Formats: sequence, C-alpha cells, structure tokens
Amino acid sequence: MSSAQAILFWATTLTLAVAFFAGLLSLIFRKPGAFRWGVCLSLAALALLTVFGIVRWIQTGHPPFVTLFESMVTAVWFALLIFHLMRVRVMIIPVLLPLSLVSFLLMGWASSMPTAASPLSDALDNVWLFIHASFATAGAAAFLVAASFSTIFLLGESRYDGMARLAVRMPAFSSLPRTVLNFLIFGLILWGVMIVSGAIWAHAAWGRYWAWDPIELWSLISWLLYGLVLHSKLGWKLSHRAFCLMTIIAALTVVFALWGVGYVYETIHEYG
Amino acid sequence: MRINLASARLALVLIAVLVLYLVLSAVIPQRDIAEDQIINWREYLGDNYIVIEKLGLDRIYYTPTFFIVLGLLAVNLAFGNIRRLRTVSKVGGTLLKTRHVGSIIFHLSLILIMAAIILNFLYKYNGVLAMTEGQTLIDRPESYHREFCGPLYIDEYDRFRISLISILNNNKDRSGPGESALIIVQTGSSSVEKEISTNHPLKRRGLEFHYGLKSGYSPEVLLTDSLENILFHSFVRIANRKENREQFHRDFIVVPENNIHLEIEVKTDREPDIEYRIRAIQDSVVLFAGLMIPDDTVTFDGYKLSIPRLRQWCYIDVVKSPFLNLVFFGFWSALAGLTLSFVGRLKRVKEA
Repeated sequence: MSSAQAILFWATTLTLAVAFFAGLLSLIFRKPGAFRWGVCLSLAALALLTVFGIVRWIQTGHPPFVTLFESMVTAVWFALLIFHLMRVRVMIIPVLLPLSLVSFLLMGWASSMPTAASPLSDALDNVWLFIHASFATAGAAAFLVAASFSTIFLLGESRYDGMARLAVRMPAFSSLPRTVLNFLIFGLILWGVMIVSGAIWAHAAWGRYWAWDPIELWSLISWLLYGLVLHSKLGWKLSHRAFCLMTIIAALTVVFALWGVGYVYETIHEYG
Repeated sequence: MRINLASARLALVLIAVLVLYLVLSAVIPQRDIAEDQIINWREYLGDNYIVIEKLGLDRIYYTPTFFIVLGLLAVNLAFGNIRRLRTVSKVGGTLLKTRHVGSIIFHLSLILIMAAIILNFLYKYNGVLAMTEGQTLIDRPESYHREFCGPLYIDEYDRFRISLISILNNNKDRSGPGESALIIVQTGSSSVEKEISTNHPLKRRGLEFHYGLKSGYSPEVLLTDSLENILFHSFVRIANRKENREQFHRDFIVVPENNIHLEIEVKTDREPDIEYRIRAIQDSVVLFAGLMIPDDTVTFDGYKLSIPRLRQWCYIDVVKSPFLNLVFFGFWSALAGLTLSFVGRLKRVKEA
C-alpha cells in the first residue's frame, strides 16, 4: 500500500471510530448536535474512502475488488453509500451507531490482511470479475445495513424513542421491520447476481460453473438462509423480534462466506 | 394427516433441510473435493468413519435423499405457484400485480434451474487430456488422462483430432510454465487454430476446449546401453504424486528387459534453473543418484542417460454441458423475477 493509500485508509478508520463515539456520546448525554457530528463524520469517511478507492484503482490498474483487503474496504464503502443515500429521504440516524461500529471493525480487520496490491492473474482477467466482486461487496453491504436496522429494532421501542428525539424525520419504530425486509430482498438480488456471475465466470475460466468450493458453498448457504428468513416472515408471520434476530444471524454467515472462509478452508478464491 | 404440497410451511421445512445438508457438507469433507481432509478424518475417527460413509455424508450432493429434498422443493414451488395464480385471479381479477408476476417468475425459474442442473449433471462430459508440445491426439478413450461422464451420457468418440502446437508464456516477467496453449482442433473436414487460455476457451460443435489448471515441463529422457541400443526414449510428463501427505513432482520409468527403474523428480520447475533429481536402480542396487539439468549426460555401469531437451505439457479440458444455457437462462430469469417482485413491493409501500 502506498503512503497516500495508507494515509487515506487510516484517516477513514479513525473518522469512523470518532463517528461512532460521537453517536454514542449523543445517545448517553442526549445531545442532538453530537449525532449530527457523527453523521457528518461518516459522510467524511465515505468521501475519504472514495478517494482511497480511486487512488488504489489508479495505482494498481484494476478496481479494488481483487484481494480480501480490497473486498472488505469496498463493502464498507457500499454500506456507507447506502446509509447516506437513504438519509436523503428519511433520518435513520440510530443506524449510524451499529453501522459505524461494524465498518470500523471491518476496516480494522482489513488492516490485518496483506495490503499489497495483487496483479491480475489470468483467471481474474475477465469482465465478470468486476460484476461478481462488486455485487458480492454491495450485497454484503445491503445485508449489513439490514442487520444494523435489526439491531436498532432489537434495542426496543423506548430506546428508539429516546434516539428519535435527537433528530427529525425519523421513521416510525413499527416500520423498521419493513425496512429490514426491503434491504433483505435487495441484498438477496445483489447476492444472487454475485452467485450467478461467479458461475458464468467459473465456466468461462475453467469449464465448470459450480465446484462446491467452500466460498461458493457458504454463499449459497447464506442466500438460502436469507430465503428462509424471508419466507418465515412472509409466509409464517414470524414475530418482528425473531425476524430481526434471524437477519443478524444470517448476516454472520455472509461475513463468514466473504471473509472468514479463508481462515478455515483452502479455497480457489484466495487471490490476495 | 393431509400434507399440503403448496404450503409455505413445507417450503420452509425443505429449505431448512437443504441448508442443514449444505452446512453438513461444509463441515464433513466431501469425496472428489477435499480428499486430503478425508484422510485426516479417517485417521481421527478410525473405524467410526464407516458411519459417515454408510450415511452417505461424505458424498452428500449425490445421495438420493438430497435429490428427494430438491425434487420435493420443486413440487412445492410448482404447487405453490398454481395456488398463488388461483388466489390472485380470484381476488384481484385477471390483472396480476407486478410483485405477483415477479414472485411467480422467480419461483418458476428456480424449478427450471433445478431441472436444468439435474439434466446437465446426467448428460455432462468432461475429459482431461494431458498433452506435450508437438503432440497430436485423436478423441479416443485411451487419449484421456481422466474422464468424468454423467450417468446418461452416451460415449461419442472420434469427434475431433487435436494438436498442441506450443505452450506460451505471455507474461515475460514470469519464468514458470506457460499460461496459454496454441492448439489446432480438427472436427470433420474443417479445422481451427486458436490460442486458448484461462477465460478464453475454444468452442467447437458443442464442445469446449479449456486450458487446464496444471502445466509443467516434460524432459526428454534417453537411456542407452553400452552398445548404443535405445532402452527408453520419450518425453516424460512428470506427475504430481502424494506420499505421506507431501507433494512430489515425481515419475518412474521401468525398463523391464534390464530391470532398470528410473526415478525422476523435479527439483526446480522454473527456467532457467530447471533441475531433476535422478535415481537409477537395478535389482535394488542404486547405480546412479544425482542432479541433472537439460543437455546433461551421465554414464553409469555401461548405461548412458541423457536429457537432450525439454518440452512443456499442459492439461486440456474437453467439456460438454448440453443444458448449460438453460441453467443460465433460469439464473437470469430468477433474478429478473426477484427484482420485479422487489420493485412491486416498493411501489406498494409508496402507495400505502
């Protein structure tokens, strides 16, 4: 990682940590101003991460999707982007807390990975890489946002009302499960595109579209698990609490599929 | 008890069973996928491993119960869609809402995907050719290093004749074995020449020729006796062998007439330092043991062993997936359906 990239990376990580603490302080001391600072800082983190991505893209010659480090950073970027796009319509400030915490932790985890840029190998030199990897990170980001909403719902209505006093245009507490559901379906689509594009790419590269590689397998497990959560909610009228809890559990399988599998299994996805 | 095949609860149970199966297959090493781990599990569990084998847990994707779950899920999806169509047409007249259309397309596509995957599995063909530069092979059983066929695939040999002209290393910075192969494939009266590499196969009359995952160097080995009679002369494609869990690039040549056993192991497989560790044994007596590089010649006990030159070898995968397009069509239509359903849902939320 070049010095410019390192500065941008650590500046983003630090900004996310401060954003989280600003949100936390405002919640403890009931200061709306601190929450607004938290939101502004998370926006600054998004801007810094965007510049980081552009610099890395220019310096490596390929989009930042190739290594595990890059995929984690890109997922954080997508999650922050979704959060701020949503913020235009409704104030979802409480989500800032779990989201900035998870983003900060992911950045910390990413820093423990090899950060050196990897040249594009023959297998990676395919347009499907960009579709596959970008949808993987975007899907993970959507699931993380859904899990953040679920966490807020699980904290309970009284705590949410306390937070709601800190901002205007807050969605009703009762509408949170619906938002989780929408993000879940959105994530399912993105994750689905990731699986399909990966299969097409694998066929072009090696002549087989599915090889039960551990990452393929865990991606399918998490997709089916989200399908199960979705049908439990729509078909079985699962309680909101159970639904939110299951969404968080399913998000853990996504994190494992994308970044944890390499610690346990040997996989052909280890390019970094 | 009456079982409702269209029930959403049945779907939930089946998806949960499928997830459970997949998690089991992620934990228990599967045959043909994680052979190394199977050895570890066998050692650890001892005789108890037979329970895993008996239950088919080491080959979950091929067990009848796995296919039964998939089949039941397909039936449930089909019945569920029929019921959904009936309900919607009763309640909302003939006009279906976007989200209903999306949901129906998505679930029907899942059935299509499952059917196409099973058909592809039954009729697929994958043959692995191990070829050395300059070699020509005809599509016959003996030409293949390995073959994987679906249970319903009918042998169709003599489909092509393939020549490996050369193996190329496109990246000049790397000095290892090649990354692409220049091949000529002749089918019927027409022939085509193409450089194939990862991501760039040759497609010809329903067959695909992929550059394989493995490649390396083949030394030309010439062994003569004291009267200059040739005892062995051929390119040796050194195989990847596993002994006591360690990988070796090692091969053996046996000259039965003289009871000579030549052992060749790759020490370095990177140009310009290619080196081979050679052991020549006759009647359990080691006649020669040492390192050789290309162009070397050694003599021992009246025999002369030389490595005049090197050629590269690679695997070429010959693939036939007759229902692949149907699988991919199902994938995309499922995603289109899911997206339609999502858009319809957002529209409804907005209206509310």
